[in-house]
Amino acid sequence: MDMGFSGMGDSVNNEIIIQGKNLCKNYNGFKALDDISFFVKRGEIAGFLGPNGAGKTTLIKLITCTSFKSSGKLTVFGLDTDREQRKIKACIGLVPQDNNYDPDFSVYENLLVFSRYFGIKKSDAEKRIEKLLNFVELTDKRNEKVTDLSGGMKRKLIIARSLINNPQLIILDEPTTGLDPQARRKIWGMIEDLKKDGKTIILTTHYMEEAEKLCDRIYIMDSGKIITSGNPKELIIKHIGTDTVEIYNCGDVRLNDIEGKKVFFKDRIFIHTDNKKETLERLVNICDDVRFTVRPSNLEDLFIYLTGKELKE
Amino acid sequence: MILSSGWIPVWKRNKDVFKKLFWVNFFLPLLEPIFYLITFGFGLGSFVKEIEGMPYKKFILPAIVAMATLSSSFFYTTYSSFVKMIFQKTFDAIIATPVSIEEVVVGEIMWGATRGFISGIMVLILFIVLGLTPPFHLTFYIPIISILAFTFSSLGMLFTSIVSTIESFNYPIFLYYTPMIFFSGTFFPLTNFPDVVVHSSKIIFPLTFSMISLRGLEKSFDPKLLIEGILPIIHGIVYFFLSINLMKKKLIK
Repeated sequence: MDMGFSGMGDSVNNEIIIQGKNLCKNYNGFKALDDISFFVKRGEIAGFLGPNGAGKTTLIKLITCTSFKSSGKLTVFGLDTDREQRKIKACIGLVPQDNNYDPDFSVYENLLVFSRYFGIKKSDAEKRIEKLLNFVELTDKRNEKVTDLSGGMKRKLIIARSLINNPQLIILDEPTTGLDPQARRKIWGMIEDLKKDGKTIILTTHYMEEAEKLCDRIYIMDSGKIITSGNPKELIIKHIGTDTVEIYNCGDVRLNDIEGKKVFFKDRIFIHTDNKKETLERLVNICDDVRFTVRPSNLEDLFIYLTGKELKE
Repeated sequence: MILSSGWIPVWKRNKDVFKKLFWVNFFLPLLEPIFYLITFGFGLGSFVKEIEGMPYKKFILPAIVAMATLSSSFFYTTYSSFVKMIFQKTFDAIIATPVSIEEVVVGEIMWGATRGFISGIMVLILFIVLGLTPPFHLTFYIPIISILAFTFSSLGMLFTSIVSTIESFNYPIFLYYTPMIFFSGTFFPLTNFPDVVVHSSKIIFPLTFSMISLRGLEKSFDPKLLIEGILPIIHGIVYFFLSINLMKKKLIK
């Protein structure tokens, strides 16, 4: 989809857009971010993954200069977030967790009013809004009251709004939380289109599928710390292996004979393995009425393996 | 930071909403001053012959204009701004753009002031049309009403930066706003009260100065009276900067 952006093409180059070093954020003694270091390269989709309270939204606030770090270093486009807020904010598009659209205005007016905060000329804004409405498929709804839109459409409006200033960097905080699967896939498609257009994208999520599908690099967060980072598929293979056997009735299954990484979690046992054939044969030998499934390992497994917790609460 | 122009789009946003809801925002509140005029000007006024050498309906006129002004400003930067800040998260959306929190607050206060000014002047024009006051009185009403609108817009924002729930506005409203409406020389002159009461009223309620000034000017044009009408700006400036600072602390954590 040609959005008329001055795109860079589908190329992840090595230019670092965001860099955080030993970043800390305290709220009255509570460590929301505890000494994290990370980077995001131009043109990639970077995902920050973690349960509620992991520090994802706090991190986004620091990047968008709507909150200030307690210590460490954070640069966006090479600019210091403590000093160059206006310049940084001018080049970012934010899709916040809450749909904070303006309920007093229609779809079109929401976009027009927002363009003024960036100092965009009205004639330029009008042209851009047409393109954006087309991109998010809301052209027919331009004069609707925002409060009458469905959840998915509201989200699309906020995505369109985040693109009004033709940002280099787009930040999506839980872009699909609370949406039905169809709307979710639509939004994934849009995110992929934006990446093709050369945008750098950050997203936070607690949906594994979303992170695995979209992200070039993920940072797994828990309690204000980054536990691990890298390409999602590579991380899974590195830490837990290609496949996972999930066992449901594990009362007297003797697992000592089975190789692989075993994780006891709630009423289940996970065995992570690179050799599912052997694992299965042994499992069936030990006990033939065992109930289990075998599937490719995913990020949820990795998260449970690393933290002992589930991502979704 | 404050002198930058980022507050203008915030002001414009509020103006656009106002225009959309013109009937609700504008004509309905215009009824209240008319009720005041009927009740106090014509109703009570026919029993009270003269106060301070003027008929009561003339005496009450500046008070009705002033109250229309300050209520329009004050209730905008209290309830409306609070709803936008807490429930609609409009401020959060704006501060993620190049507009700063200071500019959002200034935009809100300036719109509150504009709104109060429009309300006050509309009431005055209504009174002019009804032949209750001569048109040239606009000349001194305009500066005094502007200052009053700015002062009460800033004061409303100050309370908004302090309260944590929307119900807490009852504190400033019943402990400050309502007493002010009655004890600032609005419905009756303060002259029969002891000096200490008069002076306290002047210190606590900026409206007292506006009333002395407007009422005096209604009687005869004396430039000295204009100075009293300008005094509330001292309150206004203090509330303005204080509210910007407190709002910043509240929203940027």
